[in-house]
Amino acid sequence: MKKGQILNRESFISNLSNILGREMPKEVVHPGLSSKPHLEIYKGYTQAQLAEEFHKNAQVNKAGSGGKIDSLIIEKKDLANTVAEKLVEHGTGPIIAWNDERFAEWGLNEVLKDAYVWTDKKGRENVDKALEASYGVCISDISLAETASYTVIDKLGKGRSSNFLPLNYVCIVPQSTIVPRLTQAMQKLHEMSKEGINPAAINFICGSSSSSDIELNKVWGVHGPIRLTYLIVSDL
Amino acid sequence: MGIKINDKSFKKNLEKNLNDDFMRAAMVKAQDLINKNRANVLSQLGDGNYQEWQKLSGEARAHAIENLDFYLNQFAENVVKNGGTVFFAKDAKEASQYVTNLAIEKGVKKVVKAKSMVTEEIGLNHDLIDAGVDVKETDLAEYILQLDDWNPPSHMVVPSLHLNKTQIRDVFAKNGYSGKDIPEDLAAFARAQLRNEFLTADMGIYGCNFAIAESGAITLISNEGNIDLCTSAPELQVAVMGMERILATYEDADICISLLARNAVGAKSTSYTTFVNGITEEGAADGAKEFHVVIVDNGRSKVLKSQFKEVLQCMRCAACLNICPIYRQVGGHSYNSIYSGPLGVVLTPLLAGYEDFEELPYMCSLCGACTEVCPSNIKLHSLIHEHKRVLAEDKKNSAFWGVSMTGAGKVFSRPWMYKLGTGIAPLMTKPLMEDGKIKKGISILKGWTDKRDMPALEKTRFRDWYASRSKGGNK
Repeated sequence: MKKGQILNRESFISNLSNILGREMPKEVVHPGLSSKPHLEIYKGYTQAQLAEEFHKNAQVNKAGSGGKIDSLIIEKKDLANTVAEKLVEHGTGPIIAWNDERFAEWGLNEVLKDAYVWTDKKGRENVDKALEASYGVCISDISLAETASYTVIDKLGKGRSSNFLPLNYVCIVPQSTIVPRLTQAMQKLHEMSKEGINPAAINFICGSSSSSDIELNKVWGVHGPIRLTYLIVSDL
Repeated sequence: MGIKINDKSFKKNLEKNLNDDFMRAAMVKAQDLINKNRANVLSQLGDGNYQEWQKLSGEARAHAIENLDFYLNQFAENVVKNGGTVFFAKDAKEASQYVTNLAIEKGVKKVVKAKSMVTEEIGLNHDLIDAGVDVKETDLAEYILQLDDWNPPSHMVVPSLHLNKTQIRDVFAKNGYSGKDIPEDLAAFARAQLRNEFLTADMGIYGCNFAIAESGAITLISNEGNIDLCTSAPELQVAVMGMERILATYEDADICISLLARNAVGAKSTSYTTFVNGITEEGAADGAKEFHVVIVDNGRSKVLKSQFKEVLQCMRCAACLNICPIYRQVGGHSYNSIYSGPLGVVLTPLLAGYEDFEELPYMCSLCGACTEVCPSNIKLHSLIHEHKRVLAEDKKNSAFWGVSMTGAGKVFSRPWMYKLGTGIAPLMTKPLMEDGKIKKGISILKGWTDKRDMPALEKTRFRDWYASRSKGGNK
């Protein structure tokens, strides 16, 4: 099987065009949405106000998770100490972190000195380390105030498995990355796509792994991380 | 499995489920809880004007369906640009065969699957198993149902809703669990069993909530994170989607995603919202090295051609199940279809034919609650009514029903017959009465009186009573 094929397209698409009573158009002009209420949410908020909203909504998520989610607003000068505290809060254990120079820039070298750093060329070993990890550490690419979601845009050095396999997760949320809601993230993906950039995966995450499949009782960590801590850094 | 979940008659399924007290209580609990949470999060959506969002979502979905050929083509082109392969499947057999052959060709021993209704619809699991592939469903509910000898799902969002924790404990016990029926312990057992499966699987298969034409992205929405592990770990990945799951743009996706979780589970967002754009960067240690999308027609183009095409706008949120008074009473298995509730009533006969599902349109009181809540703005109750019309006028599939309706038509259109009928009805129903109530109904009345008493018919007709009052009577 060759990559990059489209199989059975002609008959399938022409059948649809026939049903729709025309040939397939060469272009379709999207009519646009008839109103834009999604643009009004947190409109005009400053980054600091958005950070407050992010934190507030994270607190709502925290309450709904029985404490499995936590959120703190801190300054960059306190980042290293706070990360250090959070990385032992639920017991010590192996740590996995992205291969990201910002950790060093933000003074986290010492805190992460024993962490396994995702190194793609090591292949499968990365995944095994992620599976063993008690803690994962990451940085949000885009942060959504309305749902207190952080976003991971796939890139070498980040490792998708490192975001889903550790038991506990610490996510650094730079205040500058916070936008009102999914709307602004979609605008960014739209712009990237127009430039031909479609990252292999974009993950929006706003909680621990949970399920209500057993008599609607909410249980945590069926698959992914059980605990999640957001560190919202007000001056990053 | 396919769309139909068993070969029992509609009546047998219904009888069985009406006698399942736990299941019926579970449906009530689920509806009450989800609807309470839903109302709360919808009131917080912007200015709380849900109807406006509902309208926008309906516009986005309708636009995509009106231009399905263009957007599917655009989507396919973009999937290829992202390094993937697209297979257009006209029916269930073609779709399932493509995935199964791919698994055989690539020497796949184990598949991890994340919840996908369309793979149920095309019967993929059993074809893979017949081909010697070890299939692991990884959504907790689907995992439970798989271990329970492929017990069919009863709800679109909470598929194992019909099982209680003791039943689940017993299912797990057959697979090595020795603990109690405590949900946290049961979930921990599933975690321990499933985590390694992701990392040892050769292939990941998942569904698609929305496909974004402008980029070729598959959007997946879940709380558990199993979908994210399915999209991270295996090198060979396949997304299977019904052809109607397409959306034109990210902006459209924003509106629809914003309504999906709120309507499905009463949350602002699920824990994980994931966009997958084909193969990973060269040199990446995980993610898909090979990516396929199977786009499934399987009867949907017939729906597109019909007066029911609006149902293709459905985003499978289950809001209609969660509000439906019939679903509340009978549960998902009574629909004998993987698609239950009002959506199932509309969709199942269209995809699988009236022959096996002619009773389904009558699983509806036409209260219209499903239409009111639908985030895709589908007039579900009107479509159900249209099914009834087709069955009554075009199909004329029940001699009894036809005779009954013809008879009723004659009576109602002739005042003297109506007067005579309503006059003698109390007398005619007297043998069916006990303690002043009709308790032993016959024919179509029996379905009602088997479950509850029917008030006795008044001896005085309303018209006579009204005439008497109009003349100053005091009754």
